[in-house]
Amino acid sequence: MILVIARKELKEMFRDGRLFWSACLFIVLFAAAAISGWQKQNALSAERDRAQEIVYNQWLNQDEKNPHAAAHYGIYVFKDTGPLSFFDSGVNNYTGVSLWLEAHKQNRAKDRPASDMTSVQRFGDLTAAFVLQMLLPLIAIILAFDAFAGERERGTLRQLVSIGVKPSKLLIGKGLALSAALGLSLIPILLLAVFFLVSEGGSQILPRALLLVLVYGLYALIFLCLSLAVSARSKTPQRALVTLLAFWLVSSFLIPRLGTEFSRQIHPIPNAIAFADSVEADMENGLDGTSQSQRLKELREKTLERYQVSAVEELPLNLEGLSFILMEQMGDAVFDKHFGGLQDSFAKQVGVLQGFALVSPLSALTQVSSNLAGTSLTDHYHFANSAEQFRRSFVRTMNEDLAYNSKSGNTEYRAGPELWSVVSSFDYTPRTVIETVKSIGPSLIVLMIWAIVCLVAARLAVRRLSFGGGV
Amino acid sequence: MSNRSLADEWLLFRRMRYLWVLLGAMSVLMIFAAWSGAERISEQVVTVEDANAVEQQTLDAIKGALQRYESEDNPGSPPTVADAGAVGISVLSHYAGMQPAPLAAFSLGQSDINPYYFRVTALSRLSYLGDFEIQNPEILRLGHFDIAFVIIYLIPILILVLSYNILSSEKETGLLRLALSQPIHINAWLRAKIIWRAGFILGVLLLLGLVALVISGAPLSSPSTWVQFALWFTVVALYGLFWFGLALLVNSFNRTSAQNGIILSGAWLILVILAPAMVSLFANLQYPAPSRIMLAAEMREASEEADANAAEALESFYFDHPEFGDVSADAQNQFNIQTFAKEDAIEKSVAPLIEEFAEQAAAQQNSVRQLQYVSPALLAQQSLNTISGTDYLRFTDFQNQVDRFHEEWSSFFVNRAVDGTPLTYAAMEALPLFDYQEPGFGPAFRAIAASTIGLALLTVLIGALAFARLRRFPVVGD
Repeated sequence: MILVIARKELKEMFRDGRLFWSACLFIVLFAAAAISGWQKQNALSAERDRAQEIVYNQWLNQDEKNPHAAAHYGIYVFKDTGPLSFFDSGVNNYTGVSLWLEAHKQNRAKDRPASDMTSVQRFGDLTAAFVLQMLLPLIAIILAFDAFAGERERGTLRQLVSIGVKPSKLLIGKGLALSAALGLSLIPILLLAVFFLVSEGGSQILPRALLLVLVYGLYALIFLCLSLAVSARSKTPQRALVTLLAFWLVSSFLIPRLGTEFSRQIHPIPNAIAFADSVEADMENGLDGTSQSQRLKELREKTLERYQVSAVEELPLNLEGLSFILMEQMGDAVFDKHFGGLQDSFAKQVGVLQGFALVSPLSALTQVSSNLAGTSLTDHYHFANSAEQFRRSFVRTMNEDLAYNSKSGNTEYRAGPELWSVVSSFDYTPRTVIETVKSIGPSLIVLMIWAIVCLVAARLAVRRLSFGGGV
Repeated sequence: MSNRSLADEWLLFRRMRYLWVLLGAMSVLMIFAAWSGAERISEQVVTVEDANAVEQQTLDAIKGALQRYESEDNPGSPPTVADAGAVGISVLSHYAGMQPAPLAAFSLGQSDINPYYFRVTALSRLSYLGDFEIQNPEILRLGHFDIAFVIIYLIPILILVLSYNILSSEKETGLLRLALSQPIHINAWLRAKIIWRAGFILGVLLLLGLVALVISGAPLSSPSTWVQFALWFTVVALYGLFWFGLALLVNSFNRTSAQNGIILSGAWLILVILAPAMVSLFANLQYPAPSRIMLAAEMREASEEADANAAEALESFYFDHPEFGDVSADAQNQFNIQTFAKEDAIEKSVAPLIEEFAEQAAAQQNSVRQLQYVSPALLAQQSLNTISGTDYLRFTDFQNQVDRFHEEWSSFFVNRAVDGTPLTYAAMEALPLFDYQEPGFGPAFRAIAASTIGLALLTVLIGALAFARLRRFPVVGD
């Protein structure tokens, strides 16, 4: 019985052109977005590798110099956007791609692609994920809004039930047909996953791709069940359609934008000038109230005492190097406070946005999707923080070399290629799938709650099905 | 159409409770958007003012030190702030800020991406080119909630809700037959109906726009505010009429209300969301910006070379500045000169690449200008941004002003550093400060005119098509 209903529904959807036209639009857009995204990502990735190599060679081939001067010379690192960024570009257009690592300073990542784009970009980045996020709900609504309301209006609902078809079976049958129709739209992602497995053998990518299929499937399911529920409770198909479209527009377009205003108001962030000023003030005065010059004086006295000498020239090491190490340590604490604070504020702002997921499933989906694609804000800071750890370690290597391989007052000391090659090229390891899934837990749960609530709503809606004669 | 049926329309209107709820919601959103937009723009103005106040303190301190030194009877060695090179490189900077246009709060556009100030020092312009404000990338991605958003995304929905079944529901309820049994043509009847609805919505929008204007703190006494407000309302009205026209056109195909609803919501998605995203993708593919990554690597390469060829760099620097060639400078001056020479060498070597960035940006902008006609939403966005001065035009003008100012500022310090002239109180009194000049209205007006005329043509086309089709509309049967 259920299969008969499902087959009839599918046939009808094909016949009246709804499925055909939405499928055409979907396939064309999805293919255009995926192919152009794929090309762009490959070009970027090759460019990045090339630049990273050039810059590392510059480091290796620099002249002999004081190791601290080499720390000032610094290293550039460039962000690898990851193999799935073509699917969902996340915040990539709005975060910097190059990061300069130098002594004494933590820098912000620079060179945002958005700065080189026109204002049209603000309509959205046409990626495969964007196409899915925009089209799936609308297709679900268009296919399902008249599932019950249409039959009710035509009077066939009363007939069906009078010949003994249980409303619950009707629901399952219609649900199956619609799932099959919508499931077609998930096939492209599955194909992409397979493509990856063949072309890259990426063991990291496959679980992410499969999770993406599941998550987008869940999203489609939410709108499907919601549409069936509303259709079952609406007097006319027209009323069902208007209700569903209103929900879609408010939850997908109005709420996320409105959310940004709330998150900015609730968790304000400093502007760049104020931020730089407060970093500078803490650098000078010290976090604990002891100024940098005071701490350096103490270091000098302690070191002289420890080696039982009266002048720095008699020390077996270079006090300057030790001073630089101390300055870095003080600086690191200041950077942890300010950059850490900024990242916390951003995370809180995103938290507010995610709170809106309770009324907007899209808000949860965008977070889950960009995290799985490795292009979320969390992924960006994972990169930036790894680079910062790398900076601290290579600057320390330079300063330690100065401290322990030369003596105070020896201005002639030079390090060469042997020391440069101690610093390996920056090799970034992205978050593992498990780390990613852990971080998107709340959004995933919200999505599942949405799906369950909509399923239950659909089931309850058909339990008290009215057969009213329409109009 | 008689006054009688207009009165009936009004009665009908008053009874549509959902309409009033929607209008109420829209008004609240619009006022909230005006308030938050105004806040963001004034935040930018205050930021630059604060920064200018702080640097004024530094400047005063330098001037004070110089004045004290100059008034001493037997001065010792000059204070460190007399060293033009050191002051220009690391002590004194000037925040050159942009003034927002009167209607900036109406459409925030690129105002959160493009810098609204540059920190100018005696170093090359590369030192400030990459500056940008701290912003949450996630919020940048989602976009603003400003008046332009309400107009471009939400107003079409309000209009479509009001008119998606303007004819189909009359037909479904059988009222069409009744109405047209009177001696009136369907076009005249519909025109009156749609003009009444459009007039009502546009009237509300005009009122809300005026309220927003007051909230946004735009200078109400300035005539340019009103010129721009008039342009703003023209764009809003044309954009609104486009959606009324589209609803009418779809209705003319004589389908059911539900089918009209599907088609119109699909049209909204395509015209407001997908087509602009396609245009953006296309413009980027057609004129991709050069690689910023490679720029960073090349700057580094150039800096290396400048170090290696320090002597050569110096020589080339003197070649450009022959007036300094024969000056014998002491050690500090030599260091300053080397720094400037290196900056100069780096800037020269990456100049072609920087030029390419500007060229590609202009080409992209051009491409968007040509492609904007595919979507009324895109046309509206482009013209609203230009009216608000939060677009490419006003920003590039500002950037050019800053570049010119930077030449003046840096040569003030570089010239003195190179020929070893110390800074004096009198010289610092004459230090040039950035004075933002409102750009000429010509280029902006041409851009707005192109978009607005495009919008008008689209609207007229859709409207004409709809009325032409309606002439043959089957009032009875299918």
